Amino acid sequence: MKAHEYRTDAWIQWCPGCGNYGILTALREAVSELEIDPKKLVIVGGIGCSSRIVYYIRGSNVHTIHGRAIPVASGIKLANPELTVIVSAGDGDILGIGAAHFVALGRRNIDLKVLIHDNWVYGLTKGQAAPTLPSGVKLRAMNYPNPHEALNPLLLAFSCGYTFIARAYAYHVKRLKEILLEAIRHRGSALVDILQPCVTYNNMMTKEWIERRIYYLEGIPGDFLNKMTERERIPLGIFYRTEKNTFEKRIEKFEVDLESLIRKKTVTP
Amino acid sequence: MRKKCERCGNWAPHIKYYYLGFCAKRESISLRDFSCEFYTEIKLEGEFFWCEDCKSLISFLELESHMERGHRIFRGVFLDSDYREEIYEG
Amino acid sequence: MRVDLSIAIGGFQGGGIESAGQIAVRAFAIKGHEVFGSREYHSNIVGAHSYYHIRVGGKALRMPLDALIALDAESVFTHFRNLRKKAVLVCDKGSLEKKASEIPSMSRELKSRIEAAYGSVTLGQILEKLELNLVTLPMAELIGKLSETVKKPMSSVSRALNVMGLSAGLYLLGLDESTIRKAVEKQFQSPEINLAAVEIALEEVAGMERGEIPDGIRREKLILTGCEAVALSKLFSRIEFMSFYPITPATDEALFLEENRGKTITVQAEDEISAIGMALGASIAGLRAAVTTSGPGVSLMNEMISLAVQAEIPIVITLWMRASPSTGIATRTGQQDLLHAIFSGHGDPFKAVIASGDHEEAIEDVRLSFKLAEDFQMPVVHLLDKYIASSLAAVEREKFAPLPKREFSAPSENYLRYMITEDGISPFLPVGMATMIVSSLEHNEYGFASEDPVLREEMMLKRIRKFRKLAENVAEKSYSVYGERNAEMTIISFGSTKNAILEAIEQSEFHTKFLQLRILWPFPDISDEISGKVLCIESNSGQLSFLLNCCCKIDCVARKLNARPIYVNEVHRAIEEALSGRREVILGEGA
Repeated sequence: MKAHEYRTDAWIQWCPGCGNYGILTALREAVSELEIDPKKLVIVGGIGCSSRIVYYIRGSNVHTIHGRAIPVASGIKLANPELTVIVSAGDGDILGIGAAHFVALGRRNIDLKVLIHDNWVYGLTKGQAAPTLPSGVKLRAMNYPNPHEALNPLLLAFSCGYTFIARAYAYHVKRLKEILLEAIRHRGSALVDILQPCVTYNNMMTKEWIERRIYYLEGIPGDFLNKMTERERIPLGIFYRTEKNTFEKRIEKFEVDLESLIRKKTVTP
Repeated sequence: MRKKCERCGNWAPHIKYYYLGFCAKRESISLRDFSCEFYTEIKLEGEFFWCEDCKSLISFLELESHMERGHRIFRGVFLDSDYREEIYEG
Repeated sequence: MRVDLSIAIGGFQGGGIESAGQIAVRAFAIKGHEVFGSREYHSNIVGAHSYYHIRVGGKALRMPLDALIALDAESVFTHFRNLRKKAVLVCDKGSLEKKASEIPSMSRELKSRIEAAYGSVTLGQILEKLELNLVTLPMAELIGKLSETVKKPMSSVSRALNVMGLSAGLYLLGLDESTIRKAVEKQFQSPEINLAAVEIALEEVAGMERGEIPDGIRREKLILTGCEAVALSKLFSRIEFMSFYPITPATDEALFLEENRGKTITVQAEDEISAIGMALGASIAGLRAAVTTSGPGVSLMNEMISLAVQAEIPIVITLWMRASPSTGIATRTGQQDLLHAIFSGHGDPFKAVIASGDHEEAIEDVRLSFKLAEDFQMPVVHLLDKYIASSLAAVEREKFAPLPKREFSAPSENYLRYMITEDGISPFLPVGMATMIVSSLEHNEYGFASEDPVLREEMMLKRIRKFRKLAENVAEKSYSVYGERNAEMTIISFGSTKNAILEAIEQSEFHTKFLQLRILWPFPDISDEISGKVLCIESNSGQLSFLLNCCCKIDCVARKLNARPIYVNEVHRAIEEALSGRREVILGEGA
């Protein structure tokens, strides 16, 4: 199926210039290249601008609630392992309100792909600081400089046990697509942290700001922790990748005889 | 045939009002069927474009499929910079 | 011949009280009597007072106690005022020297109540004033004897103290040695030490005056805790996915199900939000799914419940109520989540709420919950409580029955997840079988988000029609009526108060009937069933009466607020008080 056949009839509601367009394009390209049957493609969104992506790609998609895409996606994948299940949500959604689930997913290594649409802000609620925004930064719609420290999604993912960790940039569609292909092919919990401008509310991390700083890793780095924490310049690419048993393989299934259980609980005179 | 703004590479249509747009060369708003001496053919280069039929940004990867369907493609879209002041919380 | 006994076995948490209680319940069952046992314990891992309350010859608890088997002094201090005259009290000889003030684990409140009534005196001095059949055992000596007999160090035989105390007590009540031995054998995988303990204890009390317990109707009995009954019924119902976060008293159910899961996927989630989120995901993918939790867990699940309503996802939420608000008393019972269950989830949260009155109803209601959740594609709350969770009761094997698997028809070309239909029910297909959008946003028939006012109204009406269809469907199962048709009093209640009320109306000198509400939402119309005065009995601040006010006049509300179960004798009191014109009664028995 061609990429444009994954289009839907829904009108795309993002602001012109939004990084989500890049992610949408790259994701359509990736699922097309992998020839994923739309019925077997499940994109699970949380709440926020980015999560609306579930309406824009033909699939068997689910729009959940704020912060909770990962649990719902986990249930779907465990229930039907043949589905390709992709979580697509914002940095506020996944790393703020839904952080506990992001942590738990790494620990479980369920075969899910988490795409963080990382624009440093809460867009749909008008530009508040998201968990990835550095401290001291005051963006357009904020009342005062950010009093919170930023968290590093890649480091967090590593400490939680994610088996595939990458960072990408929304407007480099081809490179983003390549990373998404690798993430989807990977068996296990995969994080792709996708930097994207929010043209409306993030007047600091603009397209130009991002493009001045980013550069691509050459292969998977040996000193990936240093690369993950690099501040002045922002490396993109796959930082870490390993194979571990997925959760599906960690839970044992067996035959159970309910009648013998009943007998065990029966007292006889 | 007059070389109207809507065919000009300097011009980007307004996001909603079909009859007007913004000229990057003259840095001013002009009507769609206006024309002037700075006219230049649209060259579709770069990564993202504006599809007026879909009222949406599209990437160069999608360009062909939109063109095939006869969609009108521009290099960008115009939106008044004050729009932020008028947005309600989603 | 019917035997009627109310017995408590008390000791410290970790001291084998649970085992002792189970042995006692099994012993009476083996002897052929109806028996019911309830565990009362502190929210504590080890050391606090815990007891097992057993009723023989009934399905509900009653006060006063006919016997108390106390493994420590605290147990006697806690329960002696619940003993009837001439009741059997078995306790350690050394206990008699203890004063209430010398027991650090006992609550300040209980100590000061005892001191206010008796002064600062020893337990022995208090007991002298009471007319009891007191049997003191030299526990230290007996343990030494056991150690010698089985040739094991004291440290490994001391845990058999519970069996010693218990078997002495049961023997004095009139149970024979072989029945006691059978019950002990059923309890332990290698019962040798405990069987020796039985022998030594019985030698000690041999020749003492004892009661008489004749044989009942001896037959096989399936004995389960409420948690086990519900878990087993879920397994019989072919549950395919169960997620949970540890919480009292739901954990017992979750762990039993997990242990015997077979091919059911079970996941211990990182919190209750994730627990229900995963179950909803599994349900979206076509599996039969449930979560089990308690009030605080449902608080966390609220937003997900609303998602299940909006996105029309079948889900069963087993809610084991416990004493709240907040953490309240996590290990004690109550019915405080009735309104919470009904109204959980924001924004017209259409759902069904089913309340079970006892173990057997709980088994049936598990099936009904799945059926309603799947037929109507909405959340169903199965309302139970801690009292049922941890009590042991005999259930009929036939109550367990399979439920056909969820089935889905082949997808049509243009599948519409939210197709508007006459009864509001759209054909369900799981993700993976058709393209669709399962959406938390208001949506069109396909699932695309829309804020169109006409569509919005249609979708609201669709959900309302579905809820009305549900109400029609459950109307006949909504309540049970017991007692006399034209009674002078109608008692209305729900949940685990059932058996106490049934026993009371059967014995009562007044003409009463009992209306047990089974489906609490959609709330049933019961106005035609009322006769005489209306007495509402519940273990909360008056939540059922609040709902009943919409359809009938209530003359009296009897509430139990002390986080203990409602006893048969309390129901008698409530009836009398209500008939004498009281509008409000507080029931406060229990230790």
